[in-house]
Amino acid sequence: MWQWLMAHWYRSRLKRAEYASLFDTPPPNEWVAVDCETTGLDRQRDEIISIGAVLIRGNQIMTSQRLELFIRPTVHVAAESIRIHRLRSMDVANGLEPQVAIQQFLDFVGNRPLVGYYLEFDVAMLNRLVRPFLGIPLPQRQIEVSGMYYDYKYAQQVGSNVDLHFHTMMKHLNLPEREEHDAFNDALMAAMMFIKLRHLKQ
Amino acid sequence: MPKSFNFSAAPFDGLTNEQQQWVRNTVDIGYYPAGEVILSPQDRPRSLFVIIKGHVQQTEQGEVVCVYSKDDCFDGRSLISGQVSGVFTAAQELIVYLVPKDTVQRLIAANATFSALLFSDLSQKMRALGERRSQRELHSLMLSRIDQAFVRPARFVSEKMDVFSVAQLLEKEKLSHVLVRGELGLGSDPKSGSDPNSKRVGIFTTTDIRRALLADCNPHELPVGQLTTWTLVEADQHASVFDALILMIRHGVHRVVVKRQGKIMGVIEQLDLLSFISNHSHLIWVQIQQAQSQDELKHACAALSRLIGLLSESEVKVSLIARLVQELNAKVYTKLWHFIAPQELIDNSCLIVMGSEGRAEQILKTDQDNGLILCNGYHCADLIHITSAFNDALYEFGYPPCLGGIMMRNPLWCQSLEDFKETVRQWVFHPNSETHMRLAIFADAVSVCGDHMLLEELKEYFFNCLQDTPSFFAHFARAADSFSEQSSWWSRLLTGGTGNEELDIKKLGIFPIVHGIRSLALESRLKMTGTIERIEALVLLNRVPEDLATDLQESLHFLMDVRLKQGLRQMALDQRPTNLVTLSSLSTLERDLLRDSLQVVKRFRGVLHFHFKLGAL
Repeated sequence: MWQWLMAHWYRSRLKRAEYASLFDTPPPNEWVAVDCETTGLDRQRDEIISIGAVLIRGNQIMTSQRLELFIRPTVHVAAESIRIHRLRSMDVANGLEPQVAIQQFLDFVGNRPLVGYYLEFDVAMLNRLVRPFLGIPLPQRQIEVSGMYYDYKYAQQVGSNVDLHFHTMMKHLNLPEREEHDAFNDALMAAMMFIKLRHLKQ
Repeated sequence: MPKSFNFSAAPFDGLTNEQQQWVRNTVDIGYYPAGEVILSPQDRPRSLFVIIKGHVQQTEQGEVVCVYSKDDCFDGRSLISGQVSGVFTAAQELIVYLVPKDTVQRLIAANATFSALLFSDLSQKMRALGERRSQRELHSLMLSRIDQAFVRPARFVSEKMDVFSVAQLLEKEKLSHVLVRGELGLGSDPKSGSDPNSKRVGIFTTTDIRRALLADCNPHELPVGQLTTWTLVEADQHASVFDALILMIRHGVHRVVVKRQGKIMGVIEQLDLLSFISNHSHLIWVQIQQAQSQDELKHACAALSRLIGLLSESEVKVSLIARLVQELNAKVYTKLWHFIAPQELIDNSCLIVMGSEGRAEQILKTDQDNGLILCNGYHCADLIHITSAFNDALYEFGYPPCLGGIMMRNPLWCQSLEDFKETVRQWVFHPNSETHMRLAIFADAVSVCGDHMLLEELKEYFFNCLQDTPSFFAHFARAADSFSEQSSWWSRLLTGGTGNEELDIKKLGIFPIVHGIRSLALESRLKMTGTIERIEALVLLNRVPEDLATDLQESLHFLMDVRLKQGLRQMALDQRPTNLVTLSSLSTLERDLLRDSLQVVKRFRGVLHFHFKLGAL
């Protein structure tokens, strides 16, 4: 009910008619895993410098249809962040305008549910770009893999503390982890965890 | 993750940067929970699967025919033909790359190595492997043709030239030999003189100058023809360098005359060969030949093991190594026998080696299978001591004793010809698994030294016995099948998935091929002992189809190669070489080939089943 109301509210606020399809029923069995790299962890001041997204269709990760965007930041990239995502200022200097990037992102995702690890942060960051463009935040359903993982682990052993570190989850799910943590690889690993956890739930 | 697609595993390891990019741009990733069917005969595959994690089982009619693991890909054949043979199931939870059909077809069109590796017959796969090896490293020198090595141009002199002038010539031209041309009618050798018009040719070397000196004649008057060696050891220019080396060892010479279309084109010298191959096989031969005591002989044997390691490392074909080792081992046996046995015994007996040694397929010293056939009526008082000393000495040299007791100190393997005949007859007419094993080993016997006719006669008798008992072969051949009922190795390949599983490569692969071929060869009264030679002869007799024969030969060589490499590794760790191969020690392509080889073995067993009607037993 709440969701329906929200959707209704958002639909009325939508600035661009060509994005009305965002509120249609998404294609069955399709999701988009997403991850962003940012200049830092401050949701108000820091900016997105890279977006990685990959389409999930059933049990397949459509890496052939992937999205890898680099966005030119307006603020300085913190050294701490560079160490994580290995994108130096010069690497993103030729990036896209934020508005162009967010348009490509929306076209890629469509109305499919979003999948990610600590998705809340990524969505918050994305919304800072989406809001001025659409007039509304991202309306898609959001699926948190660490939440799925928590439910799965908690069901196995009620009352236990579940370690929700990315690395721990990958290890416990027995999935191959990649060294380099760029936006695309992180989205891909989130996609793998998602598919696996969906099966474990059944 | 598409960025980290493993381009170092076959068949993707031959792609150019651009072609790798095609794969990266189009590859997807799939997930299958354990037990899910990935491909079945109803499907039309749309992509090639390359395993990131997990195992896949291919079953046909309920029987596992293949297991695929990390970096393996499937199923190239059905992708192109559209026909899936068997059912592919995720034996473990599976994560795979999906390379779309379009990309695969593009790669096939653009890259010959890729398509060869993707769906080729075993032998083609081997050839592709060979090609890549030669790309990476210098092609093994051993396999080069003689004329690629240093062949010295032929320098002829007349046999009437005097020794002094010849010596001058040698000195002036810095030669160590000249070829000597016989003059028409003059001193023509009556033995070789079948065609009086052809001029005979011989060789005169610096060693012969010593003989000239000792002849104590005036060197200005002594014609060189008198000291010339008129029997030449010859090889065709297309023979391999290795063949030339074998010839030198066999004949104990330092020079081989190289012929082009029957005409002498030059001479290849041992020294040149050696510098060409840069290993020490000749030195070992010299060591063996010049050994004055058992201790010295033992040193030579140790060097032999090192040589095998060297050759194997430089990717010399395993069949060539085996031949070289057989020649050298035979020299060791002969030399040792002469140290231990009195001349009278040597003359009145025949020393034989059997089993893998007789087939020239034993490379590392895994055991000694030897025996002694004595002349009828000859008695040697001290026989048991002599034979024991021989076996003990071999043991000391590093040839472990035969667990089956197939050694000459065992009275069973040291009998007079008459007694041996009776024994063989008993074995043939009263068969059980043990006598079958003995006959199998005996069937591969070759004589090493002494009176070769003794073995000839015994073998002739053996073949005649077989001729009288046609039912023998089916029972005999059945042993090739005896290990098939073992819990399938596929499942062991699966369990744990750690790759630390071990396969008995002899039982699963080598023995069925060797024994099956042996049974067919005996049935056809083929005298040769080597498995490869037997296969070739069987093809000529139409007993084995040609394509199967090729696959069998390649498989046998591959399996021997794997076993040799494994054995060398174990010896490096001071362990006794075994037939167990650890899967994790193999590369993806090797695992692939191993699987294909074992498939060939399976096919061959089917042929044996049909031929000997084993199902009816």
